[in-house]
Amino acid sequence: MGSIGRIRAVTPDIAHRGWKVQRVQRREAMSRNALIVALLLPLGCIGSIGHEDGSDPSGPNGPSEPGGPTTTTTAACADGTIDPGPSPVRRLTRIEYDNTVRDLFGVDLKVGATFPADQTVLGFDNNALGLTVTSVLAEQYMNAAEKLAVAALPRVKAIGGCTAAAMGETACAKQTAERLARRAFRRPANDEQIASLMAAYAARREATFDSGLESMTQLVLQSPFFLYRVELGSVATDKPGLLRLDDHEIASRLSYFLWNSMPDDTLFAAADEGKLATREEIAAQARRMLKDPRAKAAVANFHRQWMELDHLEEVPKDPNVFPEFDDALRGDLRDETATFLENVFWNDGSMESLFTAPYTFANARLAKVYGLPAPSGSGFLKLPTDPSKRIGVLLQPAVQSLHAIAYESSPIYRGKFIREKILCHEIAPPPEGLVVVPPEVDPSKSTRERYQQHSSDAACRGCHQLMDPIGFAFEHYDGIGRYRDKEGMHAIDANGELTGTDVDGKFYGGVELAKRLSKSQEVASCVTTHWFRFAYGRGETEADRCSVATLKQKFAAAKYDMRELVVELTQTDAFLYRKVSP
Amino acid sequence: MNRRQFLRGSGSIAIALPFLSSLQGRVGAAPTPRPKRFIAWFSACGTINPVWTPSGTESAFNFGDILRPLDPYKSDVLILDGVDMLSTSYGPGSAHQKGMGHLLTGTELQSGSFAGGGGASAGFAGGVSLDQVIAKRIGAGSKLASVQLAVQAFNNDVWSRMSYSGAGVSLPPINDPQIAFDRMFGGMVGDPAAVTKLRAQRKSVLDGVAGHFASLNGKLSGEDRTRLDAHLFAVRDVEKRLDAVSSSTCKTPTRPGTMDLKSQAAFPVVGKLQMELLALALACDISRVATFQWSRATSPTVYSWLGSDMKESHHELSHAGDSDAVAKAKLVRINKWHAEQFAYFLGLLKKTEEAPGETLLDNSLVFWGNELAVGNTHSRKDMPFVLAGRAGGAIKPGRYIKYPSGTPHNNLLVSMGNAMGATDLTTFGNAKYCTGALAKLAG
Repeated sequence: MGSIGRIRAVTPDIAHRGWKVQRVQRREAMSRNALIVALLLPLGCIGSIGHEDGSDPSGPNGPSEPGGPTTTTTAACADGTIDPGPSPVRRLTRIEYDNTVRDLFGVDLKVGATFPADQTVLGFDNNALGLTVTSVLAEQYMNAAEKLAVAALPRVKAIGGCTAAAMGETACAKQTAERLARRAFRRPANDEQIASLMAAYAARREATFDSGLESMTQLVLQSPFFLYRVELGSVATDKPGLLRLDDHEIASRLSYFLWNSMPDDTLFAAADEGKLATREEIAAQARRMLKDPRAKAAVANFHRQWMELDHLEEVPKDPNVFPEFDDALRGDLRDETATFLENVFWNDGSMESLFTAPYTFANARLAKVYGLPAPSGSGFLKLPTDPSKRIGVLLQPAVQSLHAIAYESSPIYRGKFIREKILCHEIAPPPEGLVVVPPEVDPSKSTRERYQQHSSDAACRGCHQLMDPIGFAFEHYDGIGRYRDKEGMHAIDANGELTGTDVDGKFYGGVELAKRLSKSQEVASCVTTHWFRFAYGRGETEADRCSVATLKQKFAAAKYDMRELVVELTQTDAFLYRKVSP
Repeated sequence: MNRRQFLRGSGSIAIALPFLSSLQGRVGAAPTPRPKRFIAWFSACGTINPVWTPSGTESAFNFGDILRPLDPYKSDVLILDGVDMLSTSYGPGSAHQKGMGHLLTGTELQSGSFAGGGGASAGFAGGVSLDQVIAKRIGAGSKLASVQLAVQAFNNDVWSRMSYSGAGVSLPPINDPQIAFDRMFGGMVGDPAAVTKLRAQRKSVLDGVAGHFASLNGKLSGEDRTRLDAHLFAVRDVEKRLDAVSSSTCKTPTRPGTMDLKSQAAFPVVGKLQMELLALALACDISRVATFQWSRATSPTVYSWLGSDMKESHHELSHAGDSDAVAKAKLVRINKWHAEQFAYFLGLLKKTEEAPGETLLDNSLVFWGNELAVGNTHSRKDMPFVLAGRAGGAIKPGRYIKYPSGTPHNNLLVSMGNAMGATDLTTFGNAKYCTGALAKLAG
């Protein structure tokens, strides 16, 4: 299980009487729109942070604004400047560790799943800043290496491609060390590394030849060259301080981005032959790799984290109100959305479809709870949805359930989710000093009426008018995402409003909201940001201005095909270059 | 899709608890003079204060219903009333985040959405935690300077961490009794010749690993260097412990079997096993400092083993309004159950004689904290803090002390540090929220 990030508070913090001035933390200041600032400043709800280097890349020379002409960005970056931004050394995540072991040894013991959870930073568990190692983890690396060295012994021998009988023990051990290290370290090993592997071998050779190989394997699996993606062999350029990654490093960047695992034989061969030197060669490899099942898993890993699907396991639901919401249904909802996202990505690719596709995937259990025609047979089948009620990912029960409270919907959480995860704005939490007085349930008022009371309070309104008017649009979906025309005795009022975006305006209901968002360049920019963070294992910085601007431009040029965005992520300065370490 | 993740609350659990007998009447496992031990204990989501608070005077008091399971240990516990987590009024983070991150650090959380907060508004704790400060002073003589154990605290974020070796550097707790066993008792198992051989083999491999790290010297930039150095330090720590031959006469316990860790039903079972492992590690002087955490801040635990009516998560229940008598009664049951667990653990320490008339509990200081005082208001005033043990004579238990409102918990952190031998500590955490040691703990 991946690490789970944010935990939802359970109570709709309706009575935030103590709320003072809030601020919006713009996660993606790169797309900051002057209009937003103008709108929000009088409300006292604006701030900006979100960059790991504390910079604000949205200065006067920043990239284009949402809705602005992309040509200006080209001009700003076309002066030949190459700035790759930071290239932190990245430790393998638990997922990457298990995948790499699987692809290296053909054994799939999933030992990494027992390691302490990796930290979620900026929404993803592969951010280099969070991938630290404590003594507990180092010990588990040791235990895992001991276990795997035994399980992988035949495979290690196969990699070595020799027998002690035919070649002689020492020569065969050395050949095994070279070939094993080359694969495990994802590049040819140097003499020093081989010598250390031979020392580990020799330390246990007195037992048996096999014990020696096990010892060598243990060292390989605990080496920083295995556990980290060390990029040191880079190629000088004619620009001072700038290095181009060498072909083996490019191969690893490709494989860990697109597969969350090590390179395959084809990539190794391409790297050995110097055929990862041009953008075209790299793009061709990326397109080849996207056809591999490992890419499906990596894209699913991105979607799972972006949509916070792991939270489904524990999002609290009141069993008295929603007795249907059992563990099986939680799993089904997760499968539905994961399957939908996979289908949109691979069969269609367009961001617009992500938000507006009029179909879903359901099994009999889901169909029953959500009033869909029961699919014949078992398992998940693609079903058309009523396009006046449900389109795209945002209106799916998983998303609606995740952003609701235990016993009813939550306009606040839903609005906050759209702001933060779809528009890449961030709303700060309530300030200190407030006392949350839980509201008494009042059947004489609809949810909307109760929340309107709260956001009519001047102290709350500043920030809540950024969330609640978006969240109200989802009122046709109850606390577990079932469509409803009435809430008890109250007719649903799903009038909503977007402000501070490039698709501002009043509208009615989740369907219209989804359609608006599907056309938003600010949303496209946010999708780009999430993919950037996942692909590069870090947050965007001022130095990435040109890389990000180029990505947005290419994404737009590809008619917002997310598969093209993924390929383009292998073409940027940030992907191809690094700076000389200080 | 990993279906197993959703299969909670089902299946029966039956495992042996092999440790209890190891503890009964143990004498002389620890070296002389007997070391002090410090354990920071956590349960989540506040309490029901009126039902928690004792009645009576400092020396003549009665427990409220929640703490009544501590009756057999009345002379061993010290109930603190009126201590506030003042520091949590400052710095970034939500109430639960701050309550957890400040509990043992007494200082502001790190800011920004980069680390620890799962992408939310705050990061990990902004300073070293008291257990680690104490571990530096008294942990060196034992195999493990400190251990962090938990029951179902799987996440890696500020809600799930109480122990910090420094600002932003959280120490993950072990949720799996097998892994805990391996960490604490591994290397003691088997015949001595085999153990010696395994140590030599591991040492040789780890030396090679350290060599690989060394080959990166001077080739990495600042932040990378820091992370890789921390990793190498961890490797060295593992290696160092290979040499630490236990001085205790402890009989090697049996390694626990593989068990379900995630289901609702597993919670009390894993908890009991972890408590027994910890008590044994303390008794055997494998470690002198520990944190023990039940779930995490905003606990999602459903206490289904307490009754079929227990359907809501702890966090969910804790948000119920004051007028919700049903929810309140459930919260009392949850908190009382935690008092029973605390009592069980104290019992394990008390059963362990270290010298005639001197128990492991006498040489320990156990601090039971929480990230909140009250769940539905998120208040961190008047925290439900309990101390137990005598800290080798530095603490005088058997009392109920009412402090003036506004007494900062940083003062308590100072006093606990003092009691554990860090007598030079005059402040802890952010000094702004500390006015010195807490009065009256020594009597």
